[in-house]
Amino acid sequence: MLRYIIRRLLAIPLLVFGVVTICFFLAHNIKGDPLSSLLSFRQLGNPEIVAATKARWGLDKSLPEQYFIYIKNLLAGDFGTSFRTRRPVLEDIADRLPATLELAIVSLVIGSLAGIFLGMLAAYYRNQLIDDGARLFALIGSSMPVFWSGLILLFIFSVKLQILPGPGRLDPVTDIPPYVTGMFTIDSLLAGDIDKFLDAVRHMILPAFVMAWSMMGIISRIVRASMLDVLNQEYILTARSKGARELRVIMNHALRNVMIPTLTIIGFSFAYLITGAVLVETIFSWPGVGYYAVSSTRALDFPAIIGVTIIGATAFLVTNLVTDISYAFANPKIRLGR
Amino acid sequence: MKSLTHNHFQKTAFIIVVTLVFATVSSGIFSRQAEAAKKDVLVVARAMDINSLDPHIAFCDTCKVVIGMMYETLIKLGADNKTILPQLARNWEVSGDGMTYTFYLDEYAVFSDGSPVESKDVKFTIERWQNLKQDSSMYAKSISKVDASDPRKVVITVSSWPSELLGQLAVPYAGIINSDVARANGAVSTADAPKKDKAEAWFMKNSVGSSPYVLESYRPDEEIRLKQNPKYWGKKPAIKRIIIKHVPEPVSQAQMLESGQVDIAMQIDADTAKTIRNKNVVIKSQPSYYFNYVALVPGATNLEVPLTPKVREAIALAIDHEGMLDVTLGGAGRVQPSVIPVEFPGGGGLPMPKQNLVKARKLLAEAGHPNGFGLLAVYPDMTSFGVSFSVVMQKVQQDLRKIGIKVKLEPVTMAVLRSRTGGTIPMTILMWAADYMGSAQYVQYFAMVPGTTWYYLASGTTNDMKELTNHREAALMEKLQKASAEEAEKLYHEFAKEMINEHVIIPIGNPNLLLTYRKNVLGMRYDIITEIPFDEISKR
Amino acid sequence: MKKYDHLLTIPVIIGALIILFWVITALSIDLWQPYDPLEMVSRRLQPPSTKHLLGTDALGRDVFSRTLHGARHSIPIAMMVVISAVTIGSLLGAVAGYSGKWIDGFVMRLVDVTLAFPPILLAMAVAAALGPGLRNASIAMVVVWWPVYARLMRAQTLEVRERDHVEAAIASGVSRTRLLFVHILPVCWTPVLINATMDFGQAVLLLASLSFIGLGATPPTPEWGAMISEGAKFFYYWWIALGPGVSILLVVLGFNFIGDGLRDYFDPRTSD
Repeated sequence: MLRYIIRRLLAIPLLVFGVVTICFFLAHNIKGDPLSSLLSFRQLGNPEIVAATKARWGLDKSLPEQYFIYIKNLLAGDFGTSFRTRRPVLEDIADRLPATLELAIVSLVIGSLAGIFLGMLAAYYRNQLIDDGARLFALIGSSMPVFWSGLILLFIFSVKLQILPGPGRLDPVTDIPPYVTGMFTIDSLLAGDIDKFLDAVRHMILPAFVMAWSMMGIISRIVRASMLDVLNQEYILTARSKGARELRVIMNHALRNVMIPTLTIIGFSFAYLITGAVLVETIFSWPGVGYYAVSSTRALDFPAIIGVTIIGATAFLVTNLVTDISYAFANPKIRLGR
Repeated sequence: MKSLTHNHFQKTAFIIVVTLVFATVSSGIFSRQAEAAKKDVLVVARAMDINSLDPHIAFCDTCKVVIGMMYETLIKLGADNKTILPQLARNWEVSGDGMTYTFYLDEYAVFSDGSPVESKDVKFTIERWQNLKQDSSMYAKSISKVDASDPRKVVITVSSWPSELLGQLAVPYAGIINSDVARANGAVSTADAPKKDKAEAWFMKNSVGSSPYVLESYRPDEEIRLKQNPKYWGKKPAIKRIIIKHVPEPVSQAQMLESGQVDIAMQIDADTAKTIRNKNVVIKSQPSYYFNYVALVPGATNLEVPLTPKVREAIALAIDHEGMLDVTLGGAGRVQPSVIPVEFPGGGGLPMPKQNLVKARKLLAEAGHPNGFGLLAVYPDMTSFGVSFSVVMQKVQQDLRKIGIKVKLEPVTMAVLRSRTGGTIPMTILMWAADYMGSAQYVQYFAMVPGTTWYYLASGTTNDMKELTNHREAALMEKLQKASAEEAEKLYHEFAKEMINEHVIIPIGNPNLLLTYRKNVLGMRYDIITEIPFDEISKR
Repeated sequence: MKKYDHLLTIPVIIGALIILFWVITALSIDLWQPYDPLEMVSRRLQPPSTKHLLGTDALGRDVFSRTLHGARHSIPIAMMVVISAVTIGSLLGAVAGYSGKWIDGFVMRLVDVTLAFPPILLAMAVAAALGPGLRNASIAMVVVWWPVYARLMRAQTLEVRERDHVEAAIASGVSRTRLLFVHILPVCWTPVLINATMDFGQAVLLLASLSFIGLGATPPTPEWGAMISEGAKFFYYWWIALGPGVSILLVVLGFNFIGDGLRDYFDPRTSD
């Protein structure tokens, strides 16, 4: 087991290196001269400006040379400068990370709680209407394009009923709370500003719900399966005949059993969180890393595209490792390392 | 027997439902409070396209607005968008031959740090502007020398295009910067500025102008905030803080305007405006000075058929301009015959384009393509001034189909479009917003004469397509160098006619400007330079 | 007979009907379309009426016809992408599974690196690199999906390799290809089928997402994701995004129902 963990951990830097290499060559084969993201039409026609810009951004060197420089800088923590915002990519991402994390965490909590609840409901009332209803609800959430559900809900609640605010993290007039974590909910609480806190929470309701709904499918499925595993066992059948108290104890036992693969659940959800981040942030104008990724892709901003993908992939690798390990713990029948 | 475990679920369900209801109800109550925005704060919704906040590097529509608010120019335009009024220069003189301008600086003018505005700042500004060679520097092209020997007066000598210097100096990019502070943060104004200047990143966070507002914060993709300059030397404006929120969709902008979350929405298009029912929102429509245009690129390498003058004329004649207005703007605009707006020098009295399918087909047959041909259109997939380019291209596609030309559409992002200049774009669509009141900008940008932007673009990879050069236009440009204002107007008129007959740039609509704002906002008007003169606005 | 009873549960039947509807629509829509999806047929931005069941969009085109036509793009592309991913992935996975050492290591490292990317970011990066268009988006999606099947197949292959009939075949000197196609692959197809069925729906979703961002379908193609993107711009005119959204939902649900049904059928443990 330990050997497995160590082996996986050691593999991460190599995989990241592979990711970086692939990203780099993808970015430089993008249909589009990087210069065009930096210069306008007039400037592109002026060879003097083109040469000066190439020199300034290091684009006059050969591809392998650019690659090595990129790796060297990466090791020093320099992800390059964004063509679009003219700031270091790392700074751009760091600025936007709290927004994404805030939304992701809230969505994860809501999604997990709801998913667990639905899964339990479905397992307990299996094959009855409630089972089907709960599973259908979760399934619909995972089957809908998340940018569409966001749009519909925005329209209904923000435009027609006007009980929830529109896109964005805060009302336009409101100042951002003093920076501590970058997450507006926490920061406004720390500053003692309840109005601002509620404002931030209100703005999170729709996007978080939309993201959570997309995760409920897989979460409730895992929970239901886990619980059924437990509930199917012999002693349940005997407990049922013995009376309520026994059954209550068993249910609690089943629930605790489900809690162990919680990390697993979170791990599986991670892919949904990233997908959600990209699409939901776009619909709700949520200035996080997902929104940044989309804007950068559209603008052919290579340093930004590579930066986001590398960081995203690294995070993904780490969470996958954690998921796999916790899954192994929870399910010892799985042979590790094949 | 099930009752006890039943309770588990019932209890949890109950708690969840109660929390949800509470959350939504309380938010309903609190969202009303969004209405009460303070009287000295102005919130604006806009799709921001900021490419820089450095006044000499920036070049975008939002940049004009924002830079115009943070920096002051020597002179400014009056409310009629024509009269030149003093700003940093309290008066000025023009020499007899029109080649020397002397500006006398206002002795009260100070920068945001309290230091006086002096001629050395003007010299530094203009030289940096010219030497960084960015887009907007074309407006400084005519300036050959700046004399700052007297701190209270600036003598500018021009080498060409004399008549429009005053208009060009009113452009936001001509805003005077505090040379001492700028230098201290890496700004360089000498000829090696492209390599040595390091101030752009600093400009993204700081402004060093003399205007009523300074930059408070800029968060890309989110918002930009300006706050009052406490040391402003003129009349303090009513609005103390301006917040421009990045709202990419006109519909979202409309919604925020209706719900009172913003005071002004800057890019609502005619269709969306029709859906606004709120009595607290004012919608005013008036003619504007910007337009969208279809461009044909004879120098493209992937042409099925060479875009000879006859072919281009055929294409131009096939376009249904009235129908285009209807489809793209719901009729809220005008057909613009040439690139020069109707109200600008030389723009009036030009023949209106009319669809003529018979003649178009005849020309195609004469050019050797009686059965039409295929044409690729690579264009930016965006909405400009309320007009969706995709909608435009699809209408063009429909029109050209009638004369046998099959247009294939390839929408791309702006970045991809720029990368493909230099050869693979046979047809595209772009827009132009007037930077100031004057026609030289159109000649400098659109004329088919070596040295202009569109000559370079239309030539494709060759960047120099001899058959494209319009010698008559070149001759007109020569004459313009020494022309008086009246003569210039006639020359611009000739230019416009030439450009119409070239059929390389085909304007396809001059959208009306829509001013959309809350009823309690006073002082709204369209300013050609900054779009909205924020220092004249107040709220009831 | 008992076996098929288990399979044809109500959800599976509903799912199959939905998919059947869309497949038939995709194949035949040209014959019975109410209007041409690309032509301007009416005044723009009309709400739903008897003439236009889902109203008209910004160019005056019939939204209902466009929605139905969307199936012509989404369904075939999704199927093609998944089938390609399954084919490429399975082949590579199976080869890795029984070839051992070098090839196995190489293929699995490739799988690991590809799986290291969050799927949507990889799809975005590849689609952006290749340019907009349905063809490039399809390629991007295949790149994203093949590793899952490679892993699946490899695990199956390793397990099956131990089995008697395979060992017998190896011992009797059967060629590698024959080994692969006759003895190994036919036994491993169950989990692949289940996965692939669910993935058809996911492919429709991913294609729509890419188009929504601007990396997939190009105008005037009536692809569901692109239509939702247009609908987002014309928010108040809610009918424009309604048709495509519901269509995607139905298709994905349909495939999910069938996939779930298949899973329950093949692995009764997970049902009840």
